[in-house]
Amino acid sequence: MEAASFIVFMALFAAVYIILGYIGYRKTKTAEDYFVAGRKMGGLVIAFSYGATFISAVALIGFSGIASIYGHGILWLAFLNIFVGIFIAFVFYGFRTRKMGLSLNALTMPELIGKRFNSTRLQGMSAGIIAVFMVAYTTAVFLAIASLIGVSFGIPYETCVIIFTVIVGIYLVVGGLYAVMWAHTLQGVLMVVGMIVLTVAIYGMLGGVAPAHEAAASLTASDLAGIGSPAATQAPNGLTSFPPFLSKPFMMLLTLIFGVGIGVLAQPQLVVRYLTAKDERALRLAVPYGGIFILLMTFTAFCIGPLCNVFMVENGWMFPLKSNGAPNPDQVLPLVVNNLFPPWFVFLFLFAILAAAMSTASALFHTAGACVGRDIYDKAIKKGVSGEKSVKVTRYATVGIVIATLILSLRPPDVVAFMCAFFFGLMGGTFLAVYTLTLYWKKMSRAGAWAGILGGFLFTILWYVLVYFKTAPSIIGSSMFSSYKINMLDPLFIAIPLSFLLAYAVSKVFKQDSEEKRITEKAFENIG
Amino acid sequence: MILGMDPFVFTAWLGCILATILCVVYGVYHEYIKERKKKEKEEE
Repeated sequence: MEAASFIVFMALFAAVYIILGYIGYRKTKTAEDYFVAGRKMGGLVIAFSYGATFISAVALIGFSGIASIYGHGILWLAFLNIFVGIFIAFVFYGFRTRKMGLSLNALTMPELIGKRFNSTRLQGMSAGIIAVFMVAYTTAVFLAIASLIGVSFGIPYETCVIIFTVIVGIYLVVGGLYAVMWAHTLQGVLMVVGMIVLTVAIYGMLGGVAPAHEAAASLTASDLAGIGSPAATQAPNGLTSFPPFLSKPFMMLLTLIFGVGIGVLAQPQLVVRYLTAKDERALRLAVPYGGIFILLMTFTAFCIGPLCNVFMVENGWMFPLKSNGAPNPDQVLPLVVNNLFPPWFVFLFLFAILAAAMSTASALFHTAGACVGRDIYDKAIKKGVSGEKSVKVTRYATVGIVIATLILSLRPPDVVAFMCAFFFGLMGGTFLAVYTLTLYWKKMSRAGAWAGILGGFLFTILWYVLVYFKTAPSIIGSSMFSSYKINMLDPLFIAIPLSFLLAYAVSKVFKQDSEEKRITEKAFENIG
Repeated sequence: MILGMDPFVFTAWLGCILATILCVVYGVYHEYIKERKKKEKEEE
């Protein structure tokens, strides 16, 4: 692919975003407009924005690459993405979050928790945790996409990072959540078209669903070893079968499936989408649109990942490697696309992946900016400023976060990779229990919320630093537990029950004061 | 093997499709059936 054609399309892409940013700017008059798009969004835009935020480039190319190693067993994650990530999330969390957000006039997830328990410190601390780790997560999203575009078009990595950061930064800072959500809809359409064409073409080339899966199942360990695929050892029962119970590949799939599949319920950048709904009907409509969107994203990506091995074996393509010689699953899908598809589709695919990365990054920037500007500066430090000033401060904070991400992306320290690996699990382990009880348990007290959040946060961090097989060896040399059945366990399995227990027990001991009781009544006034 | 997958993996594959159908049925039920019933009740 020529760099010139990429630059022309990128310029068109950027022009559309900047127009959306300008329209968003014209519509943004109040803090509510900037933070939750005036609470005026319809079902389709919410579904696409939620889906495009949820599904990043990492989910599409990274997880399809992981599926090429561990096989179709990862489809359980696609199931949880749809059932938990959409159905449970909207039906059991979305409506209550919106109602409580309206009753308490909360515009962010930390603000919802802070106002529910009458604590700006709790709000500030929650926002601090989110902002710090979100910058690392956004940096990782930029790293992945800049590397992919750099390799495909021969454009220097630094140029890619600067172009993406500037484009996303401009339309986000200027246009607020209006611009972000409209851009998400556009990006979502591009992602849907790209994934449908890709999936239909790959299954078509292999003769349909059953023949394609049978071709993948028939690959032997020696076939896979011949192309240097880690699937030779990591998919011991074959690419279309689940690994043996409690084997290492089984534990790997378990940690991926539950870590991401359950952690999705407490992601602040997704929770804010519920607050943008113009009415309950919009949230209800977002359920079918969202379900179909995620099916077309993760289900298709996870289905075609293992099938890439069939093409690689048939054509003798070696499994992609990193510069240090380790397997690079991120390059599996791009390798197959580059070799099997016409140039126009390679272009479409890369822009679909770019759209996935930009949509996730813009949502993360917006959420991190809101955490610093509104939750920390406005509420926790200044104890409340005017709506106009809150937006102004948040815009400055967002610019600061965009610059910080740019600097980190240009010279990424090793800690970024760890913090990114932490992110999904950390948000789930820290907030899921307290967020759930905030919405469902009237007797939870401020002390209980503190205990739940701090307990979940500290346990998750300690598990990642001391035990978890992916992170502990690089931080402290080796995991505290040598058994892989323990060190491969995702911290969410323990952190969430622990956080629930702490929040419940501490709320029973340190009960609500009269002001908390009054606020609780107000919070639940619209919830039956 | 079902559609080239072992039964446990096939369950996940089918589960994805059924979960999507559940999402669609939920939307259709609330958008059309429940609304129509509500209108009929109001007319009565």
